[in-house]
Amino acid sequence: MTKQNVSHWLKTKIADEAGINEQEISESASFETFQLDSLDMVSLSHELENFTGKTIEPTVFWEYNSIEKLSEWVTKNES
Amino acid sequence: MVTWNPYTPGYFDDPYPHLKECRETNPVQKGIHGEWILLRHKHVRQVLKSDQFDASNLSNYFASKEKIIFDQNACPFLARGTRQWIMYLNGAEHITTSNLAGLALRRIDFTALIEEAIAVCLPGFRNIASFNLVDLASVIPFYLSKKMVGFGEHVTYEKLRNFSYKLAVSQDLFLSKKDYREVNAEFEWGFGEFEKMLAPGAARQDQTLAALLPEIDRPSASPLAADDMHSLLSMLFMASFETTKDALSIILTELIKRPSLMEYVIGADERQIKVLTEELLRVACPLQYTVRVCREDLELDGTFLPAGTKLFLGLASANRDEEVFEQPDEILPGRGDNPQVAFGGGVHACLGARIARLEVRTWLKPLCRFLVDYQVASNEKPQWQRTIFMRGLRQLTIVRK
Repeated sequence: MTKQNVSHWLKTKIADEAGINEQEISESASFETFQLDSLDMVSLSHELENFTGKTIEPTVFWEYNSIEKLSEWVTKNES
Repeated sequence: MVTWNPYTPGYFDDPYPHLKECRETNPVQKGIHGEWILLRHKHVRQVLKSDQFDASNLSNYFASKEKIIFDQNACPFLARGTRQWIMYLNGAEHITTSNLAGLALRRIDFTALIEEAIAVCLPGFRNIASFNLVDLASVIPFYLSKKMVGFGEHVTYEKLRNFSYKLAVSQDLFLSKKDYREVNAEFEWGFGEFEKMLAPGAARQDQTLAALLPEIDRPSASPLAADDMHSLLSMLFMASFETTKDALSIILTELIKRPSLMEYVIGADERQIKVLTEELLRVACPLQYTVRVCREDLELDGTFLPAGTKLFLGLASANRDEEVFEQPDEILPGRGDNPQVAFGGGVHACLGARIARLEVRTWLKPLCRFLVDYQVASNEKPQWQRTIFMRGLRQLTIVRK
């Protein structure tokens, strides 16, 4: 899985959860910018786990708090 | 400076090495949601005993989140289901509801019920060569809790066990929307059962909460509405069953590893059993954290905490604090001074503490007499629940020697 795959997946999901256009989402902006509830982030971590097939603890959304950082961590951690 | 993170590798198997590191390097620290985590005994106890803190209101939290969790057509039970959970109430409402539950509990003969539970349940394991220790730790408190509340015979062990587990988990951290929807489904089922139990003309056993609670007058308060009664019954079942199952599962795991400690129990007198019970509760500490909220601005150990700050009190960490307990990770059967905080403290101290102590004191000897003939199956390691606020065993196979 590439970094682009993960960041595209995150963009689509965040756009859906936050009710905004994908084009409005900056990959370097922190997740807090999108007014996501902590429950949304925990739910996304479970979905990301299913998408990538690897263990994703919910805390990674706070540790790697942007699409850029998180997709990089997911793919680096995979190799 | 170690940052508290329950997803640290190995935490669910054994949280204590991580808690020790946090306690020694960063005992008052800010968490990722802006809450403060307290891990030393002196701080935890100070907050528990003080009247400057409120319990965090779970029902209000759910009320604020239900729009996020459910779609428009759903029927949310989360806020309703937790509205009378005593440990999350404050002020007059807390006093009124805890008095009501306390009066009802005092009318039940727990001495007899606790003895009956083990007399009925233990023989079922006598002819089994190998079983999961959690099953033994579950069926005894299950028998008691089901009778205490007054559930009918048609309600199965599996159904109630799941109901209780999901309700307990609803208080945990890092739950997804899917998790909360599963909790909601359990509340929906439970409310339906309680409605049938409390319906006018329904047959109710004496000495059950379903019979006692509606009969007790609440001075200076109107009778509980049906939803509130269902909420209170849900909590009393969950708190009675889940915490006892978890405490007992941890205690039995410790005992089965220590045949000499089981022999000590078998030969112990009443006073020794009382002292050992406190020690086992200190080590087990099934409720690992509890939450408080600062009512006013205050300073704690040099840290400014504005009004409204949430505090996670590390009860399990406090119970292993080497500043208070010598050899904190060891079970010392004769540990004299034991200011353990497994039941919390202050106005929100566990309502069932007296019953829980009586359970452990009563069940220890018969369980040890039985388990002394068993050992952990070879190559078997305990498997633990992946829960943060509650700690409990999932699986440990034991075999007859």
